[in-house]
Amino acid sequence: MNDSRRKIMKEAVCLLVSEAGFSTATEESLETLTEMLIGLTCEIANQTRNYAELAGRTQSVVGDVLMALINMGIGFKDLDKYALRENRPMARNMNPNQAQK
Amino acid sequence: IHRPKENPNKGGSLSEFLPQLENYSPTIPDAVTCYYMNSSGLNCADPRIVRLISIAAQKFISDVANDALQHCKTKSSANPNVNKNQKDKDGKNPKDKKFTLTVDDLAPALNENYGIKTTQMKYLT
Repeated sequence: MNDSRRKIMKEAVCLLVSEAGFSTATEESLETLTEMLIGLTCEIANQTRNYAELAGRTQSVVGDVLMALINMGIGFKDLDKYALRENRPMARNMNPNQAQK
Repeated sequence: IHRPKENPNKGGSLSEFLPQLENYSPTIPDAVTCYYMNSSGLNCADPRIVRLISIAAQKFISDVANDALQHCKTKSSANPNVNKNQKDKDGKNPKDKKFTLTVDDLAPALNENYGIKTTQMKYLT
């Protein structure tokens, strides 16, 4: 469970929760959201692969991701507005060489 | 037959947004999303796919957090005594109240809006 990737996912959850308006959060709620985030990422990826294989391809395309999202009931209507919103939080820089430039 | 007028911008927003994904950096780093994609058997050759999955997952978590915040706000407004005590204790306006995310707020938000049932482990209580 002491996984570095899980810690980064937890950090992302913390950023999103604080952006929503919470100032503090309990450990259990953050763990619940982290587990959901990891599970959701894996499930979207799994369904994307399934749609690509159903179409007879080995490389998935953007349309497969959109089909996976529709199949899971997650709308992508306001996805562009959400992605390009103002003051979006950024996780730590994963590539320290870029910061030195 | 009456047909509703089609919005010319409908469906165009996403196709305009997809090229912007090339220079986009989501909150979840690409390397982490790539790892979980690979663990599910999906190759991440196209960075747009990685970022689209990251953004979709982030939006879901943000929506859940917003619903939990609404629950938290309605709960605190339903108990004015709690606010009154806080005001006396902190000497602050209750509008500036700080909210804490707990499982008590998260569980009803998940159950009502997404049909996800969460139960606390008995050994943790």
